[in-house]
Amino acid sequence: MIKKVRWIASLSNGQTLYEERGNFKTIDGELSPWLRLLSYATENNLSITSIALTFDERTRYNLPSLGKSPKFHAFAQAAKPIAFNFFRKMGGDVIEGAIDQETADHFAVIEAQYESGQIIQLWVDDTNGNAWTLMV
Amino acid sequence: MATFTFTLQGSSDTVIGATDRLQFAGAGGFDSKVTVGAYNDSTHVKSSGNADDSSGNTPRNNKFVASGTGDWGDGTESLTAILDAECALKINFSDAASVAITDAIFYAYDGSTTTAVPTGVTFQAAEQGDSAWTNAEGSAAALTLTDQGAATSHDYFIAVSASPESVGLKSAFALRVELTYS
Repeated sequence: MIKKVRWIASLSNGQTLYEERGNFKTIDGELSPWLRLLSYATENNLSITSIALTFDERTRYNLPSLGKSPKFHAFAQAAKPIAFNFFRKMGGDVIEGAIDQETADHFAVIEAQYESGQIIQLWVDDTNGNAWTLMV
Repeated sequence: MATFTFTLQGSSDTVIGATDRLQFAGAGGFDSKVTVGAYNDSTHVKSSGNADDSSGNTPRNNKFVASGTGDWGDGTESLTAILDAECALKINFSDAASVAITDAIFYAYDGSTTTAVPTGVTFQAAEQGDSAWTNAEGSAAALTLTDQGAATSHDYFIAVSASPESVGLKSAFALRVELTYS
């Protein structure tokens, strides 16, 4: 199954990096693009300032960011996250359930972490682009 | 491409395909019944055409005896003594890239609502190395699996055992694994 949902991350030096582009393509046997992004940020003393997901390179899903030029006042006033994260979530049944990747549950997740300890998660279904948000 | 592969281990392993079922059965082998209140004496893979896919593979069986003990063919032993190869179920997760796994859980549910316990079945599970069985029914009571560092292939070895609470085929009974990777 081709990954339809991919991350987009902006860094504190102004760079915006895309999963499956440039140095962040999947390479068989090498660290995942996300783990390589984290290494790159650490090695260059950079932090993530925003994170988003795309589905089929068309639809984009954004979380609150540290962006300095929001278009609406509500975005400027909103609480700012202190950290961001990305992961994939997969689940499958063993008995009486289809277990191959084509039918397993597969989501890409981004999260924004706040000083209060709260985390907003945005889950996007890899099969159809449907999205859900969670506060954990 | 990330992929799950579920395998019933044995002298040769039997991959549990998308339309197959993992069958907990009695001492009579494939399709034999388990007495109400007792635990499985054999484990098999049953195809959608009702064939015994694990026939000839000497499939492993794990039987719950008590909280910290089980029987996997050598009489009652401490659960801590079970080896990877003695666990009935192997779940492999693989990805083209090297990924780390966290927050992996494994549990039984009714096949439709992940928080609901299976109907008419008591289910026990343990990851290799655990000292006690987990009554892993419903996602809130799931067996927690060990985090694994970055690799392209990850194996989980899990002992599984089930007991019917009433007479009859148990169809509202599914096993599920969930994990986080990045």
